[in-house]
Amino acid sequence: MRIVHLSDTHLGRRELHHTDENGRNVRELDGYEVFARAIDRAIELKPALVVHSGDLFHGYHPSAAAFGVALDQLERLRAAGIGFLVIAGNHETPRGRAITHPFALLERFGTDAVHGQPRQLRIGELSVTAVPHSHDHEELAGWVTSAEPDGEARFNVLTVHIGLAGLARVGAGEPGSPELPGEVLEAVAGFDYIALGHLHQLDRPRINAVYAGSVERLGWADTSSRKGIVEVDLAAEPLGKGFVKPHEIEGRARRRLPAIDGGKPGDLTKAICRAAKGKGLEGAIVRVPIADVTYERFGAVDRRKVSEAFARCLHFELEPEFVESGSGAPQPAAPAELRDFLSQRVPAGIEPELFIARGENYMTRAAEDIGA
Amino acid sequence: MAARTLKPAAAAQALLRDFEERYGTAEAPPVPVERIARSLLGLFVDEADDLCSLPGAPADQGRLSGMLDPGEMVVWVDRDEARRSPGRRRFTIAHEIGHLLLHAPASPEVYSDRPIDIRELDEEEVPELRRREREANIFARELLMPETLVGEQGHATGFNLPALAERFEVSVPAMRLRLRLLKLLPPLA
Repeated sequence: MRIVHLSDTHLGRRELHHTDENGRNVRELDGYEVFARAIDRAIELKPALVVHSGDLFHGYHPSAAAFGVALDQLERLRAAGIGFLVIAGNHETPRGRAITHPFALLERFGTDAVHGQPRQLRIGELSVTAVPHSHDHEELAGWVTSAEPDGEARFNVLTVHIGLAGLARVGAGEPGSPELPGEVLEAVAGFDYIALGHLHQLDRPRINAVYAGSVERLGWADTSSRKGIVEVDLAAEPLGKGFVKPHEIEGRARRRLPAIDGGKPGDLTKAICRAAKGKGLEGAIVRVPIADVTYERFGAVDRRKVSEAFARCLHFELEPEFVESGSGAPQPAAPAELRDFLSQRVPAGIEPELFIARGENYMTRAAEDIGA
Repeated sequence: MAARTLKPAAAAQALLRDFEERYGTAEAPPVPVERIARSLLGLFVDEADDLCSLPGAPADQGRLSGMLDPGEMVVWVDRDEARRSPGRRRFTIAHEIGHLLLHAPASPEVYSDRPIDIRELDEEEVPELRRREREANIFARELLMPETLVGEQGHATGFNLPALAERFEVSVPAMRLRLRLLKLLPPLA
């Protein structure tokens, strides 16, 4: 029996300021496209079940667009005769009981969308123990450690949305993010497969436990060499090659180019423009590190020329690493970097633009306070 | 005492054997590296805010993570680094023990180590790393994560990376590298 494991699709997540001709955020649309590609691949693989290990949506108030995309893609799976099960992740779980969980709506459309309490579901010879996110981390840890395989089922899968201590926290930087000790996996070692969500990089922290990772790179900290979904053959030997098989899904390229030496004599603007001639930058999100540069030299870069050179990219930004110039000149404002930084840290349920605007406002006031 | 061989891994294994024979300790993680340093080798382990300010420390190498003074039989560890990561502190002590057993008998000088010299992670990323530093890192890896013990615990835990790192009191990346070098890391991990 085979299943497909995907995770952390974050439908509705907006990033950067680029919009299409209708004013829609390009990165939000990217997320919808990549999700559709993941479903395309799942349909090709014809598994018995697709398990989504949380953060289907980026927030607990998903937009009509995000909700529509989810329903459309789940309908495609249904039409192909493939089951789908999703657990609530931290991003889509409201903090207050007064707020209706978005998964309650998904359930009305016939999706096994587990939220609020763990559930055990039986699909033929497969039993799935689905543990949704709880903002009460003690409760969440209790749910995980008390999960038990269904003795009547031939195969048992556990799915849960947690971080594990010591693993790279890519995608889990927000405050209050759940992180449990690695020993919790020993408490549930009896499951054939543990479909983990929350951390965005493909990883296998235990022989029977896999983070499928997010379906695309959502920040600069994500240095994964590949993104996509994981096919699991539950009948295969866990240490063998056929047990878990990643399938890459193509998303928008995000590239940090080799650093330019800002201390090297010569025209820095030209050096940056030369970097734009590299391959694979079409439509990409690009960051250009500039090492050991003085404030004066960085301030003298011709931004118009550089923008023209990188025009084929969706987005580019410079990442200066300043050396002491001795002039006492203030550090120039770096609005693109600040926006990117803030956009990756929007708390669940907060309108991203509102959060970013407030962060920019604080930064401006801080600069004014110190006379920069 | 150990250091009957100059091969780093073998020297670490010999040191562990000596310690177990003398103190009758159980073969279970974590390896008590500070106790080995103190009780078996007679080393004093101390911390300082700025190792560069200590007698015998080089002033021109920037910040130091660890330092061994074989004459005084002292291992110094950077206090801030030790506070931030107990696993790193253990690795630094093990690295300095490596210098004591592998290199100090021939050159009893002060060994000062920059953060880049003490590599819990892949040394291939630092091609300019000096031979002695590489050897001290191999020694530290073998001392803190002995092959046999890692193999036993790995099989017992289904190669549970975070649990193994917790049990051996090392970082997850250090344990991941160790399993990879021992060819015990499952695909994708």
